[in-house]
Amino acid sequence: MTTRGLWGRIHSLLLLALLGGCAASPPAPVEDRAAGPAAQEPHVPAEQAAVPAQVRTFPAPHGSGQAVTAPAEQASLATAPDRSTMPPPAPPREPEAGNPAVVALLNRANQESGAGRHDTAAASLERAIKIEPGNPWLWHRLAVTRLAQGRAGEAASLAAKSTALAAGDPALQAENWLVIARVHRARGEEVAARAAEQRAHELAAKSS
Amino acid sequence: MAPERARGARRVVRARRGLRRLLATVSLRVGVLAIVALLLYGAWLDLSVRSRFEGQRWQVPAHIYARPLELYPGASMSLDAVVSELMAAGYHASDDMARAASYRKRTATLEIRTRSFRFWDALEPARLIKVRFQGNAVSGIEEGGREAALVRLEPVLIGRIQPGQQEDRVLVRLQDVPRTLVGALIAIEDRGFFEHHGVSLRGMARALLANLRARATVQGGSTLTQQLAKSYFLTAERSLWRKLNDMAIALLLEARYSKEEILEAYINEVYLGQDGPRAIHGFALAARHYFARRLDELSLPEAAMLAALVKGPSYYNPRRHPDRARQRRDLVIDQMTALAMVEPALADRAKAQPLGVASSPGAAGSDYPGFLDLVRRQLQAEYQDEDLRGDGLQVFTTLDPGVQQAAQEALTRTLTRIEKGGRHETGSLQGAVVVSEPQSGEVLAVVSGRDPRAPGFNRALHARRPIGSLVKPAIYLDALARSDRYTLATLLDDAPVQVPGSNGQVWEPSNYDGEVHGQVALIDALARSYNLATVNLGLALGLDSVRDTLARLGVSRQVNSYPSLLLGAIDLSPMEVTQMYQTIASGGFRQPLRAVREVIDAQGRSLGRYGLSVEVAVDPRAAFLLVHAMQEVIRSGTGKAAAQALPAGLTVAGKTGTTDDLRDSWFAGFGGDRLAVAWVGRDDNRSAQLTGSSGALRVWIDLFRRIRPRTLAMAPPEGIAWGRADLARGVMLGEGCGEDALPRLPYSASRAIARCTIDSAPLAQPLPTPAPGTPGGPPGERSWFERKAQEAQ
Repeated sequence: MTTRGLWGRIHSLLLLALLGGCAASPPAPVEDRAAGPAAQEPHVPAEQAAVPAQVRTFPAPHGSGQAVTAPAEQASLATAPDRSTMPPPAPPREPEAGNPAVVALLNRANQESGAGRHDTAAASLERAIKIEPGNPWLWHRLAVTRLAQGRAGEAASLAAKSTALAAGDPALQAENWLVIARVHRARGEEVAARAAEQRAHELAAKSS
Repeated sequence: MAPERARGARRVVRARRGLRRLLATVSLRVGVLAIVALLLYGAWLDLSVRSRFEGQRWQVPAHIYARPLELYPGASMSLDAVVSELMAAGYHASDDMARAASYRKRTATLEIRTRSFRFWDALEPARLIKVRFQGNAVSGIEEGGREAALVRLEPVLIGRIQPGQQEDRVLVRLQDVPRTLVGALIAIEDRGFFEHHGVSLRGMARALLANLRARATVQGGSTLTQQLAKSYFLTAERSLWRKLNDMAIALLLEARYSKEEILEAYINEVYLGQDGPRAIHGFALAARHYFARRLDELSLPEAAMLAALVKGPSYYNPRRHPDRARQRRDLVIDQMTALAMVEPALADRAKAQPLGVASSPGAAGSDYPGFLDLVRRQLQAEYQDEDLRGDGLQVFTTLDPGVQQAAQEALTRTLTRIEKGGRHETGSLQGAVVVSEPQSGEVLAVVSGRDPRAPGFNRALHARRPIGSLVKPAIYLDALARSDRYTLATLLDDAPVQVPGSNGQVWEPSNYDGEVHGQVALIDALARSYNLATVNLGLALGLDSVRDTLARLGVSRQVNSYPSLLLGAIDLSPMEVTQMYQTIASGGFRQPLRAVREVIDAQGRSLGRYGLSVEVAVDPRAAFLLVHAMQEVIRSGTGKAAAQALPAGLTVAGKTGTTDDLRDSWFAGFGGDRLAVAWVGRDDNRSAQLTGSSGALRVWIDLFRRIRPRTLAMAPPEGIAWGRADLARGVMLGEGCGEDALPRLPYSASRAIARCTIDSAPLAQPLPTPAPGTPGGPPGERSWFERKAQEAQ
């Protein structure tokens, strides 16, 4: 055999392997959503994400003004099996994020959520929170994403965390109460859900 | 004579005939037996070869990674810190930056050619970026003439979970092996690879000739297939029988499998060196071990060096025998040239290059034993042992290599410094440090003792010691949650107290300075860590209530009900203390401390994600007030050494802890994005002659000076107002009241104290012990947080 031939055979051997001739290890799945440079990602306006209509409509003011939730319902909040049937409410306005990295991650999270990939959306939000841990918007978005992931108990706590960071921002606090209302409603706790919505309504009125 | 002779001859013939018949029968039987035995043996060989080849051929250890470094404008990271992280990830300083995983350092910029890396959520592509720095932060990142918002770098490999044998491997598919390497291998080891059927007579003859000529073994006649066969049934035996056996297996392999399959198996199987107890198998791991490179990044001389190693990994070890190694590498290049795989000019250039072996073999795993203990513990809680072995899992952890190094140095150097002070025997002190991120609950560093490489006892996880005054924030938090009774200004009674015990003994605590301070404002009692005021407060709140608060903060251990609990007579490990302070530092939200973010299998599928989660633990307003008081510890209290040592403008909060006879020295403190708990003491539990301030606090200060945390700027939650405080009288005044000389303090707005007069100031009276968990606010005003907090218990 000529030496030229040997080199050629090595070449074709590797080519053959590339075409799937080898059995040693299954190829890793290639993801089609390879993330390009974050800054170059198309910007997704918030409106583009699916907004279920009923989220934005506040219920008629509930006159009673009693305690927000009954204790029995409260007990189920943390432990009851989560339901994933709830569509996530989308952010009604652009979050206040100064850092371009956070903006890029939020955009990516929006895209992922829009495509129904809530796990990856949550991961992007967590990365953003590590950059701006005091940004209540990011915690709110994560709460909303947890709802979509069917992890309602965590969603309620994350909404509370967002509220604790959002002093002086009644609009965002209202959004967080809506998340809590959705958690209640998903569990059939109608009274508690309405009360939370009432609270959201009051806060929203305060902000406008 | 003649007939005699003839008779005799006939007899001989007859005897011979009988013998021949006997021999024929016997040899027939022996022959049949031998053939049967041979067939049986062949079948057995075939079976074992197949099971070896097709079964679980390789055990690949789980690889454990540090957290990936995120670079973005504003990231608090110095140029040098980024460089040392790049070096840990095996990046190479390079002027031409021709290959991936290289960087070039300038005064205030750093150019990086990254490797692509598959994270569980996305593939980060290879990039060429230019990072600008200003001071100790990233000011911008340029990529292809545009500004990039965020770059996630390949994480540092920090350890492995070994399968049963101490074998290590990085599996590679044939299509990912560079042609140069395959060429080098075939050129030097088996140039007839494509022609032979497992055994090459021509190869053996050539080797024999070469060996005769050189009067030494310079060539082995084994084909690659024979070498693979040999490695399958590894014994040191070098007999003819063994050689024949290998040949038989090689023939079987060639009959059953394609050349590609055999070559791929060989490339992953071949033994190429030793790293302590760890055997280096396969070219991909060898590339990492010797050159800190991926296979596809290898240069021609590097590929030739790896092929050269096959003949004798220890004899030609380029680290120990560079001359020998280089000679053989050049021989490989010559062989390739002879086979026209390489242009002569290129070969000359390649031979002119130094070996270029990476300085350290990157003995991953030995640098972070303390943290890896925690990773293993968390993995064991979730997975069966066998799930973690041999499957090529990738574990993404939360370790921050820079913080880990800073924490280790802070402990080691501070203890040495203290011992040089003369009051301590050299080497007598020990310590542990845990660093976490307050808002995410991620553990950034675990230091298990003075010596970073001593595996042994992990003090951070397993040394349970009394926590002393570190318990006090729980008591003050309990008080501040009752906003109708307690503010930061409320006067506490620092007066002697006697508590009868169950066995007739009387517990009579005293202050550290032996004094009695009388009426002291709550914020000062905590800042100065007054024992008597705290015991009186705790008794008024009730032991059950304090225990309840401890549990909410995340102390999962059963806590005793003795009054000595109020001065920290509970044994906790540094890790458990970190969990407790995590809840405080995050503003009242409990998060399980996490060391693992993500586990994915060899195919890139996620096995488990451990994302951010929070639980409402205590009223965020009370937590905010407590954190404010803990800032006073630094400003004017037992931690004020920190205020002097840290840069001006860096706000932190914390608490010292000291135990009886100065056995244990503790400090727990946090800034905006870093929480650290330090313990200093002795392994034999004798007195360390250190208070919290003179021991652990010094470690903590050293650490915080190194890692430069963000300043503590906790956002006041809804319901917090600010007013002047008259600490002498124990009164909070409403907004806009009081003289400017009075300190401004936050208070819970649900408290109806918005008054400007101080005459009717309510003094805190000793309370009847309330039922555990009774919230502070009036019933109608209980916030969602309070109810959540209560329900979480």
